[in-house]
Amino acid sequence: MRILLVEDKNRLREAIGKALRESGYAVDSTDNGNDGLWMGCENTYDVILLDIMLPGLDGLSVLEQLRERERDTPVLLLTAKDTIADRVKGLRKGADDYLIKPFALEELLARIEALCRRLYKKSTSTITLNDLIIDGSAKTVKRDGNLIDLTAREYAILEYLAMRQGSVISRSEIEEHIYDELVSPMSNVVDSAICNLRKKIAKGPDDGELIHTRRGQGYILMPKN
Amino acid sequence: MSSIRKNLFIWLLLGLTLLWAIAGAGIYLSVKRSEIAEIDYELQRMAGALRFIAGSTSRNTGPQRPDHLIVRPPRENFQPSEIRTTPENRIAQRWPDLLSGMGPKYIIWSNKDTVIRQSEGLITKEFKFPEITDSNSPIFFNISLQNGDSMRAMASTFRRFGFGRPRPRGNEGIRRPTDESPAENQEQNLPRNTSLTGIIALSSKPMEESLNTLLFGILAIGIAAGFCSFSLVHFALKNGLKPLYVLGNKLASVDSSSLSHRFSKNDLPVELSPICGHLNKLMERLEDGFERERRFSGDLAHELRTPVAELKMMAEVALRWPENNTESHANETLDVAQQLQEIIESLLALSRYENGDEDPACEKILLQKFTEDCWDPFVKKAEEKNIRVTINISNEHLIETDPKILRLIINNLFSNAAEYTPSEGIININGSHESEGHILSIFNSVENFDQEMLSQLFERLWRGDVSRTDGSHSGLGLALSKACSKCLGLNLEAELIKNDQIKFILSRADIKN
Repeated sequence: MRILLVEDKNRLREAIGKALRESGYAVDSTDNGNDGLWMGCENTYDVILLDIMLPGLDGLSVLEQLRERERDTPVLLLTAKDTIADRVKGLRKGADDYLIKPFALEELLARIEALCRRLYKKSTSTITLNDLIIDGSAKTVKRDGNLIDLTAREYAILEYLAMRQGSVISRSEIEEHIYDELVSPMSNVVDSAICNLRKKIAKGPDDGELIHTRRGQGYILMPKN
Repeated sequence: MSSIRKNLFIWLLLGLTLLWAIAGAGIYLSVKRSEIAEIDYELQRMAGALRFIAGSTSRNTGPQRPDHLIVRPPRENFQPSEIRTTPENRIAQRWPDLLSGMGPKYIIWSNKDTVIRQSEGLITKEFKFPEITDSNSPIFFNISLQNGDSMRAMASTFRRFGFGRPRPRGNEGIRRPTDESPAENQEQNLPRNTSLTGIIALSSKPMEESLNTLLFGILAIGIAAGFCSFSLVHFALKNGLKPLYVLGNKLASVDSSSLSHRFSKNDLPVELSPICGHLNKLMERLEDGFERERRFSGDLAHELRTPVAELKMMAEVALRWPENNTESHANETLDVAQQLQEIIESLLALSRYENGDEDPACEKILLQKFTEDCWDPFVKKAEEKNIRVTINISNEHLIETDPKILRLIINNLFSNAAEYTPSEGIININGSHESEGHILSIFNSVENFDQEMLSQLFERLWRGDVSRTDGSHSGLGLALSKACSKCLGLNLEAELIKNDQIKFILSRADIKN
């Protein structure tokens, strides 16, 4: 999942960014509203974390302009403004959620997960595919009851494929949603990660693949047979 | 608690009662005076009768009148011109009531001890000899009789005119006493033009009866008028004070959420318009005050929440992924804690100075050296921004103040100037003698600054940067400087000059510029 973080306080932005990356999210961040608006319009994000009091363009204006440009990316407002009027105003401008500073990291992660689930129309945080169980809360994957050790990026790819199981996901889509802006479009990081993922989730050398390749199209996660 | 309505009610009622009483008394007294004047006029009219009575031969004329007028047989071939004009006839013709028993009473003295005439049945003791100083002016007075009646009397002096000794006329005419007393004989011998003193009195009973009737009438009308006044005053006050109650009710309905409400003068009487105007101004000030406090709360929330959020997030990340902890991470945590400490200390200092809890310890300081020392920490920043700085203070300029508090003021002003003066801008620091009012003025260039921002400049936690991104400032510096200035008996003001320069003036509070 790819997240845009717009926060002007450097230390806070870095700490949140670090926590999100460690949790398997691809994070792009900026410290002002103008850049935030540009990035939100130019890239595809699963969630945007937006501060309200920003230099340049304030958070509510960014949100308003995103909605005017028909960008329906879920937006979570992260702000110190705590009055009911502020919350109501933010939600009415098109925000999907509102979190007041200071907040707990667990709560932030849970809210981001909830927004992602809503985006992909999943009601629970657990996705099951035959004997493969992906626990979105614990960020764990089990196959046939055995815990599979995945890197954060591998987990993110698997979770993304699982969220859209049955659909063919192109490489560029995976790049957009799983990798941040620092990844070169010409690299084969996606292919490499899929290859590693297949190996890790396979029960044995003869086990049929869950992640299938559609030539020229992309990848699809679907049950065997 | 005093009540306007109650006070007005009492005073109006008392006033109206007094007016009614004065009006009633006035009517009563004027009627009484008029009645007395009428009696006095009647007495004066009858005064002439006394001369006739004095001149007559009869001692008691009253009861005889009907007899001698009625019993006298008409003479044959009677001609009016032939009627002999006697005093008795004249009295009977001109003052018929005088001869009636119920008519006026009179008494005539030849001197203080000698009564020569008096009405029948008159008790001489009831009529005392009057002392008349001016013989041309009769005197009027009231007499209370022994039987309880009262009379209005007139005393006068007059000359006796007589008809000589009357001829004997048989049974006709005025009855003569058969056994005349020596005094009577003496009276018969009184010469003409003798000075006599007489009193003639009329019963004042009819007047008193009519005055009593009038008094009862006035009292009855007064009581009725009192009840009417009570109702009228009650009604008038209720209606008159109604707008005041309406205004009071409107005022009572005002709370913190309706401070934008303004009272309309159109619905109020003219007398309440000034109050309404003052209330609207008060509401405006309250609204401004609430808005200022709301801004302060919001700003304080932001200033405190953000560093706390930073601390919390950094701590959680450090605990969750300890392998990534570095020394810089610890330093950043310390920086945030330091920032929080500065905000809290500034707030506490502001509270102390605003409440006057700090006692200044004054001493004489050389302003030029002091100012240059204060500027030293900002020299580097000014050089980086290529700011032209001039300090124009006499090297002999001495001021007496608390150096610790003054340093706090000047440091904040210099920090502000160094921070917000744009590159290539100017900062001018000028010192003036206290006698001129200003102590220190600081000019510096500004960008994107307007009058609205100037009006909020000294508010607690106000910052020109609405996003409040820079954590090195909290927006308390100028508010603290203002509070410190007040503590030193100084006044700190700011002026915007041509929208590109701001001037801070530190002056003595007791000298108006």
